Amino acid sequence: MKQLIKLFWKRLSSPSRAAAGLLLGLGFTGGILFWGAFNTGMEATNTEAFCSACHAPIVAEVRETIHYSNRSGVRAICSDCHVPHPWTDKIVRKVQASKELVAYAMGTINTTEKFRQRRGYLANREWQRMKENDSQECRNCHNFDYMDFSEQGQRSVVQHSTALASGEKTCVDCHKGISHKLPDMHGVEGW
Amino acid sequence: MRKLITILLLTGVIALAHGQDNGDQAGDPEAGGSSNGGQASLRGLTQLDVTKKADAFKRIPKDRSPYVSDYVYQPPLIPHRIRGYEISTNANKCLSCHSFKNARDAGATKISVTHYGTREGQVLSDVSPRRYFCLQCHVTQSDTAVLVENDFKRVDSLR
Amino acid sequence: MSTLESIFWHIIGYAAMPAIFVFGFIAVAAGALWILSLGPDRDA
Repeated sequence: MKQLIKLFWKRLSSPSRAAAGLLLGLGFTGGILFWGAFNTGMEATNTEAFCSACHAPIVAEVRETIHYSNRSGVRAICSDCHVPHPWTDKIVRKVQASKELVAYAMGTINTTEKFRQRRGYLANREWQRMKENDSQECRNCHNFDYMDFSEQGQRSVVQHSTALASGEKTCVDCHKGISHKLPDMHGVEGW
Repeated sequence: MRKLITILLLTGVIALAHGQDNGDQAGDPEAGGSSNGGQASLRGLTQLDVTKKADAFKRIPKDRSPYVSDYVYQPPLIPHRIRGYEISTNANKCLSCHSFKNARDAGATKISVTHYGTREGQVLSDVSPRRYFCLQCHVTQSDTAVLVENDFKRVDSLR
Repeated sequence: MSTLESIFWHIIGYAAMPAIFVFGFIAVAAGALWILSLGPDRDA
């Protein structure tokens, strides 16, 4: 192994006879191939099929909600709301997901009963995360600056023009359970 | 002999009447060989063994001011859309605005105190399980043709 | 998630980024060297 690394380093640090253009080309195409493969791999972990492998019951629930079925056919998939969009935040979240792989290996939520037991904990963690980043994943699509209060219902206008506009509350403070069934809500603020 | 003629006549009349009955049914295109006895109901003249094409979904108004009651003790009608509102053992979305605790902040109509009573009239500390499922009594409204023509009028005290 | 756990994951998360680049570089370098080795490139 040590020999191999030494050989590799020697080759890497000694000038090549190949033309500079060829070397640059190799690096360039190699870079594209690597980055493409890396992103494809990461996007594969952002698909509904991938999420369903563990969270199947919760993925099925989305179908009844407006984020799955609606008049205009625009929809959000799991990762749109549960994985941050900016690259660095996304990597941090993906690395953190290694903890979820442990849960998968231990079968923490591999039956419906176990899942129900843990549902409150899981939901709370997600609400907390959204609260801390000011519901960033909602705002990726729902931009407050472009909300037309005249198009909203009376009840919506009251809340959006006061608490949301002032930043006192964030989306998830009121909009809980919009894409999933709710866990036991006893003791949750506002319920 | 007289007796015989009477019996013959009678049977003849009965047979005729019977035949006419049958003829009537067969002649009526609405009720022809019908399984509903020609009876129109809320689902029209549909045969019992035929599934009627479903009506189009009614559009429920997004949001409006509360409806005025039509009769005393009417469960108030829901003046807004309620798609996706969960009412289950875990959560009751309605109560997150209409409960005693939240109604003031939400600017919503408070549920009446009758919801805290059991069947025996004992008052509980929270909404009684028999009054927990809001949609059993409270329903949304939409602007549609009346199902049955009627001249219902509010009682004087509510007019 | 506790603050400590959050800090922990952020450290690992940000450490993962340069790791990805470095390993990507090494992989591409290895590939390029292999391609070059097919030609008459080797001096010594």
